[in-house]
Amino acid sequence: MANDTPLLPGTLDLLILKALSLQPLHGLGVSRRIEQITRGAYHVGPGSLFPALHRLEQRGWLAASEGASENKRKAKFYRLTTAGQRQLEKEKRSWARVVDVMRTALEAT
Amino acid sequence: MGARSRRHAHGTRSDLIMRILAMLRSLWRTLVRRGRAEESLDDELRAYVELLAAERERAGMTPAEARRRALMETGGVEQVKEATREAWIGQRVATFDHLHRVPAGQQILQSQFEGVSAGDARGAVVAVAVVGAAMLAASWLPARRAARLDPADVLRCD
Repeated sequence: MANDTPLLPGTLDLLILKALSLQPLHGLGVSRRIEQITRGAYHVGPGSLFPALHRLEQRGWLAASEGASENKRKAKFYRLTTAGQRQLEKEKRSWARVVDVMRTALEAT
Repeated sequence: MGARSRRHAHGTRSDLIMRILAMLRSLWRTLVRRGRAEESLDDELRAYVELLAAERERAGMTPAEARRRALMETGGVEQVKEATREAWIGQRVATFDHLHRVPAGQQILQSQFEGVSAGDARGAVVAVAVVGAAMLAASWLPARRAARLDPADVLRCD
């Protein structure tokens, strides 16, 4: 899944929520947007992408609808629901806390 | 502060309702509209491969080469599908269809209900739903009748 940076558990869901907070995307679009926002550090293959998308849809954080892709074919587009938006904010806060705590811990003398 | 926390509480409550609705919708799709769910998964993965191939074509590959590369990069489409199905709520109940672990019980059940197999998840869900609805009706209707009575009338002993 990742090229060299290990993907910590739970980060994929968070990255998907973040990728979709900007605009609705289809599966490949989500994968490409994650590559873009992580500056190529993460490449998410379909084997982990689709299970995650379907899982997040089942939790009510994403909603899916049919739309036209750039090559005019129909594709399933995912967008963030308001519950998903709130979840993203919540996970962003707890992520910031983890980063803070770990940095302090690792720099302790 | 009060308004804010109330708004927050309202948010989490509506999130919970949304989540339960999303779960029920998924359960319905996995168990009852199984064919539709499978079809939609098929379409989704086909679109993924085609979009990937289109990217490769834009990068200068021939259509055939682009398609070959896209399929290769996707890996086993069947494996991706299987992994995605695992994420569906109710999937474990649905795959119960394929488990025939209690042949004796199954034979008895099949002899009782024509067209329903013991491992039939749909049958099980429908049965639970029917019994549940009957139970709710059987408690709600008498409770409503009892609630309509005037307590003074009930207490008056003629």
